[in-house]
Amino acid sequence: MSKIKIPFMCLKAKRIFLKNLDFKDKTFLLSYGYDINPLKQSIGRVGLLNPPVVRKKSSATYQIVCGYKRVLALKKLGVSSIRCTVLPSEKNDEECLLLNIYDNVSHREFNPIEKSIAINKLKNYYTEEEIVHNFLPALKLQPHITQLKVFKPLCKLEKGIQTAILAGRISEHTAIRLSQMDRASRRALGKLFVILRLSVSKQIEVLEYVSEIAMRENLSVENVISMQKISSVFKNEKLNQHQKGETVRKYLRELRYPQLTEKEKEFNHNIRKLKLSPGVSLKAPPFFEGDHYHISLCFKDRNGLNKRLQELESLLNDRSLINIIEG
Amino acid sequence: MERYRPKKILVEKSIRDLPLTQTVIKRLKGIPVDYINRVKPLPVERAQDSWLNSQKTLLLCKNKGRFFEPCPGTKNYLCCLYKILNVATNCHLNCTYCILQAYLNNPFMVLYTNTNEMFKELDEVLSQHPKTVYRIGTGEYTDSLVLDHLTSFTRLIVPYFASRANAFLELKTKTDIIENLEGLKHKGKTIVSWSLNAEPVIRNEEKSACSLNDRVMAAYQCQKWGYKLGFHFDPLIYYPGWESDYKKVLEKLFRTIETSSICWISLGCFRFIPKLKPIIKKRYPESGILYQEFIRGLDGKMRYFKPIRIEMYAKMVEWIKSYDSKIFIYLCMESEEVWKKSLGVAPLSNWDLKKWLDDQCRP
Ligand code: SF4
Repeated sequence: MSKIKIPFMCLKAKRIFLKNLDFKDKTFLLSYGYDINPLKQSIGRVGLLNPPVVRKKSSATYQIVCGYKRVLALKKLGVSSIRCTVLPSEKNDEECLLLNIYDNVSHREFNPIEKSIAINKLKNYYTEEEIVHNFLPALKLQPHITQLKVFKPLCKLEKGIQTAILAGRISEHTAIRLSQMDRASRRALGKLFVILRLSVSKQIEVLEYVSEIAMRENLSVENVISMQKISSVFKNEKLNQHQKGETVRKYLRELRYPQLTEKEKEFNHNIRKLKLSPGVSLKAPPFFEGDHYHISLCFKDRNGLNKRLQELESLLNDRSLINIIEG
Repeated sequence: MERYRPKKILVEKSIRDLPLTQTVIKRLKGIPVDYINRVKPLPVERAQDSWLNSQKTLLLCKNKGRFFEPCPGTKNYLCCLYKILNVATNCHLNCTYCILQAYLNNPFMVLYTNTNEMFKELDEVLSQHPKTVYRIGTGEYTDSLVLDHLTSFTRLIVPYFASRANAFLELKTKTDIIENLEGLKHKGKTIVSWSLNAEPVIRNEEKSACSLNDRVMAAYQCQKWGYKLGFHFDPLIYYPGWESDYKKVLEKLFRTIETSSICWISLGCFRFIPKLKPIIKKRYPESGILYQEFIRGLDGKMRYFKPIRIEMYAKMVEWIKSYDSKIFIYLCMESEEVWKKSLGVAPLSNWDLKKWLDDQCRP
């Protein structure tokens, strides 16, 4: 990894007309999803504290290396020229990128999309291993390849999904799974997650249900999501967002595992018919795979225990219990 | 079926002069050979990345560990106490569901050529417990016959088992590479077995293996050479319409093969270790085998929900028995309950099941 060596003496400060800055050149731009207004206000009140860094691009134009947002704010304020720090033109792109990354991380934390942009730009100069060890900690990520794999695709996702990530509606882990899908599926699922507000693990669960049902039934992801039963949940005004999420998740689980969920319903129906008292519970083997059932009893003294045992004994020949155990 | 022909051969220097090494190199005349000291195992993920390409390299090397090992079995399900003879690893047939994909830390096609040491080890094991019956298979880490056109290994191993009183060999395959089995003195000690499946499953999930017809015809040929035959419906794959497709397989099988030469038919529903799922998804995105109702079994493997398994087994048993009620059928890695509900009986233990299968081998 090359070190940035920019002796102080080499840095020239110069007044530059904004019309000479190339706003279209985003080679070093890392910012994403920002609101320019607070910065505009602050500059409008106290002026520009930290001059942007630029590099000469051609005889008349300069490339913005650090401070794109600041320059943009100044432009919006109607300023025509500003003082900039001008890098010597022999400074290469790699050095400029590092300068911008370290300039940013010194005073703020990148959002997930910006982390992704930084990783992708670094990929032009470094191996994945080098990025993991030398840069992820600076981006406030664990120095592990899985982190790199999670964040790398985020900046390539559609704007709507990126916005949902920044708003916390879609987790980074869900986003990586979305990035592996085709565009139409991604959009459909992205919309679903924005509506439902599920936790990270439930997002992944729903994503798997939908894509696996689609694979099994030879349907598109959109077809699955637009099923009548799901869209009617969206429209149901009696349900709050959490309830909508749970209803859709349960429905998808039933579609994904029809026989298992049927068996669970049957088991719960029989349990209800047993009318167990609150201190007694009966559990089926996980997924009904094994052949051991578990009963737990809650009691506080011998008398209480005796009552529970009598209750159990009276259930031995109950049809519902026989149904549960002997199927 | 395209027979395996590597693009490159790697030979460990220590075994370069062994007869099997020489045989293989001669048969692959024209293929570049590199002599190396040894190949380092790769982390499983790295081996997976280069899986399909690396299979084109054949590695001839020494098995430095043991050739002979017990079948790993699986907790909480009945196991027949089979034994494995590890003579090669990997397989270019690349069935979508193959467990080797999640398992091997070496993506090359590997053949162990120090067969002398293998026979020595076998001699020791078999003579240590002369009263114990050993059913031994070579098809656990590869297909038993997939390299036989290059190795003629069966010409060594079949006569060897013919000479041993307490051991039976099972060659499990999805190929028709049987020419070396002709004319061997097998004395009924070798069972040649085919893994069979419904035609759509063969077309989609076992693309590089032999067609159903070729498998059955190869079995027919072996029957004519006096071999006992085994058939494994493993993995049974559930999909809408599976019944009629599997029935057609049985029709074809029993139209061609005499039931009296069938030693056993095994049934085993598709199951997989969880880490195989992302591998299959990535490597075979069009495969639909992962999307039925799987639950985590007592051994941590994903299996079809129990009623589905019972339904599949019970129907298969009924259809098979309709051809000949005496055919011996067993379930691979299933619980006592599933045995009882699909076959009406269950072995009391692994040893009991072993005995049932041992008895089937005897003349
Ligand atoms: S034939 Fe057997 S060993 Fe070969 S790929 Fe198929 S499942 Fe794997």
